[in-house]
Amino acid sequence: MKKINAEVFGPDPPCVRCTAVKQNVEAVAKKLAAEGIEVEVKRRNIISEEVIQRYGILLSPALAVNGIVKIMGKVPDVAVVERLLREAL
Amino acid sequence: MEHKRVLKTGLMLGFILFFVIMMAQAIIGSYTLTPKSTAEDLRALPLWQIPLVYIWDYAQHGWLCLGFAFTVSGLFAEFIPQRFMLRYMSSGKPISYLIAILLSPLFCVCSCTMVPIYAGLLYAGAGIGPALTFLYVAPANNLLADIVTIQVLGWQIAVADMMAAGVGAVLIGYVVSKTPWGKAFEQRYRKNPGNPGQVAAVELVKQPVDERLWSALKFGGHIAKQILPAFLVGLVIVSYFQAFFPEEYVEAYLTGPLGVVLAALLSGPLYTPTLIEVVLGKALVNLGMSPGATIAWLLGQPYDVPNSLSNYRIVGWKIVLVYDLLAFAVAVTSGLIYGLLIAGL
Repeated sequence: MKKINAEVFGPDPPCVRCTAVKQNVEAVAKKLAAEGIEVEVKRRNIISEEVIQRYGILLSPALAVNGIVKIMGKVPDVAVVERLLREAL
Repeated sequence: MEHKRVLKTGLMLGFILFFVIMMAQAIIGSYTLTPKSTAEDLRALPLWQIPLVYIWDYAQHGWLCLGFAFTVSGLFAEFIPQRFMLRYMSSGKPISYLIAILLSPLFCVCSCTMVPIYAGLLYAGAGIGPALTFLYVAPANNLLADIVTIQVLGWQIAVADMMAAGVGAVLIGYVVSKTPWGKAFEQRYRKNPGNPGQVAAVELVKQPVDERLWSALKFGGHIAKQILPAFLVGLVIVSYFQAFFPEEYVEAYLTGPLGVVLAALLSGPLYTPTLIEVVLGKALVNLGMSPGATIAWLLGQPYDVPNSLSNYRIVGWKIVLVYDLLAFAVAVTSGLIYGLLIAGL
C-alpha cells in the first residue's frame, strides 16, 4: 500500500487560508484512498522553532509532501494538490 | 482543455489590465478618488441616511482604487521572488534591513503571513533587528494601505508616511538589537542562519503562468473578502464621526505640537483594521487635523494592542515595551519634522 505523508503549515489559531489548504488536501486524500493510496494529513504550527529550524522561514500556508515543502504562500486548487501528491508516488 | 486555459488566461489578463489602465487614466487625469461629503452635507441628512450616503460616495470614487489595490497586491504576492527575499532578510547581515523595508511591504498584505515570517526570522537566527524592522514596516507600508493612503490623503502625506516608516523601522530594529534584552533573545537562536539542512527540505514546484495568475487573483479576492466587511463597518462609524464630531475639538487638540503627540497617543493603542485608520484620518483632516498630526496618526498603527499582545507572546514584555516606546517616538518625531519643515503643524 502506497503511503504519502502530507503536512499543512499554518499559524495557531488557524487562519482561513491554511484551513482551506487542509480541506483541499483532505479532499484529494479521500480520492486517493479509493485508489488504495494512503495519505496521512497533519497540521503543523508554522510558528514553532522546530518547524523553522527544519524548513527555514515559510510563508503560510505551506504544504509539504513526504517531508519536502512543495508550495507555500498560496492556496493550491484541488487539482494542483492532486498533482503534487501523485508526483510523490 | 487547452482552449479553456487560454480563454481563462485571457480573461484574467483582461481583468488585470482593466484596473491598471483605468487607474493610470485616473492618475493622469487627476480624477480624484476620494469621497467628497463634507460634515455640513452629512449633518443635513436624516440619521440613518448618513452612512449610506457616505459609503455610496466612497464606493463611487473608491471602487477603482480598491479594485486596483487588491489586484496588484495579489499579483505582487504571487510573483515576487519570495524565497530569494526571505533568504536575504534572514542572512543576519546589514542588507537584510534594506531588503526588509523595500520589499517586504510588497508581499505581506495578509496578517496571517506577517507573524509567521516574523517568528521565522527570529527562530532562524536572522537577528532581532531585521525581524523587528520587518514587523514594523510590513503592516505600516503594505502595498494595499499605501495605495489607499495615496488616494485618500494625497501623495505628499503618503510618501512622507512611507519614508518615515522605512527609516523608523530600521532605527527601531537596530536600536532594539543593541539592547541587553534584544541581544539575549538573539543569542538563543544565533546558531542557525542558512542551515544547509533547511534548504534541502524545501523544493518549491514551478507552476505554469496561468495557474500563478489564478492564484494571484484568488489571493486578491481573499484579501478583499477579509478587509471589506470591517472596512464597511468602519465607514459607517467614520460617517457619523465626520458628521457630528465637533470641529473645535479637532482644531484645539489635533493641531500644533500637542496635536502630534495626541495623534500618536490615540492612534497607537487604538486598533483599527487596515485602511480604517486612513479613512478615519481623512475624516479628522476634514475636521481640521494638521498635517503633522496626520503623519503621527498614520504611524500609530504598529503599536496597537493586538500587535503588541501577539508580539509579547513571541519575544517577551521587555522587548515589546522598548519596541512600542520607540514606535511612539518615531510617530511623534516624524509628525513634528513633517509639520515643522514641510506642511505645517
